Amino acid sequence: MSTITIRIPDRTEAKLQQIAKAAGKPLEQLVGDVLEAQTSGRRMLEEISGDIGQRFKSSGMNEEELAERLEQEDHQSRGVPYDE
Amino acid sequence: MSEALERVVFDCNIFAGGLISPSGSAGECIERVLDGQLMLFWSEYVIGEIRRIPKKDTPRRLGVTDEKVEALLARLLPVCHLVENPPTLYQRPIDPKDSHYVNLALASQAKLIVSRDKHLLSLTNPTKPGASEFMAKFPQLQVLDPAQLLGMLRSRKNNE
Repeated sequence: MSTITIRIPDRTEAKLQQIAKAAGKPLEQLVGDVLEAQTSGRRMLEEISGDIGQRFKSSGMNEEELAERLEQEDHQSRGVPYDE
Repeated sequence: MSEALERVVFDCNIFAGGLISPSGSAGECIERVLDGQLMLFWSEYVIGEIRRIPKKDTPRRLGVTDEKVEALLARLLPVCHLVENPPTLYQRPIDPKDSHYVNLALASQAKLIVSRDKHLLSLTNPTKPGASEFMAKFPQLQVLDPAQLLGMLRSRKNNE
C-alpha cells in the first residue's frame, strides 16, 4: 500500500467531503476508491469480459434480445413463468 | 455533483448483461458504480444469483465462466454495500426474486431498482395492473431499465 500527498482546490475537497458523508465512508477511503475506479474501473468490464463481448456482437443478437433471453432463462431456471 | 449519491439495487441480469455486452447500457450502469457515481446495494442472495449466471444457456454459450463472474465480483466487492437479511416488507407470490429486490431496496433506502424484468418493471408502470397499489404503498420506489437510469443521470448532470 502506497501513500501519496496531493494538493486539491478547497472546492474539490468540500465536494469530496460531501460525497464521502453521503457514502458513509472516510474521505481517505472514498478518494482511494475513486482513484482505483478511475485507473482501472472504466475498462474493467471489457477486460473481464474479454472475448465474450465479441462473441455477443458476432451472434447477431441485439441488447433487447439478449435481455429477453436472460430473463426467460432466469425465470425458467427458477421455475417461474415469464409470459405475460 | 448531486447532494447525495443515488442508492440503487441492480437485478442480477444487469450484471449478466454487463459481462456479455460491456459497452451496452447494463455495462455502463456497472461502470457508474465503479466510478463512484452510484451507491449499489446487494445481498448474499443477489451475489448467489450472480454466481448462477454461467449455469444459464445464453451466458454459457457466449463464454461466461465461473472465473469471469468471480473476477467481476472481486472488482465490485470493495465498492458495493452488503445488506444482511433485508426484512420482508413486500411479498410477491408469483416470483420471490421480485420480492427480494424490493425488500433489498427498502432496507437500503434505495429509491431505484434497475432491471430488465418486465414483471419488476411493471410494478411502477402506471399502465400495468397492480402498479397503482404498489406505488401507493411504496411511493419512494421506482423500477427502471438500464437505459432509463442512464437517461436520468445524464439529465441530472445537464441540470447541474
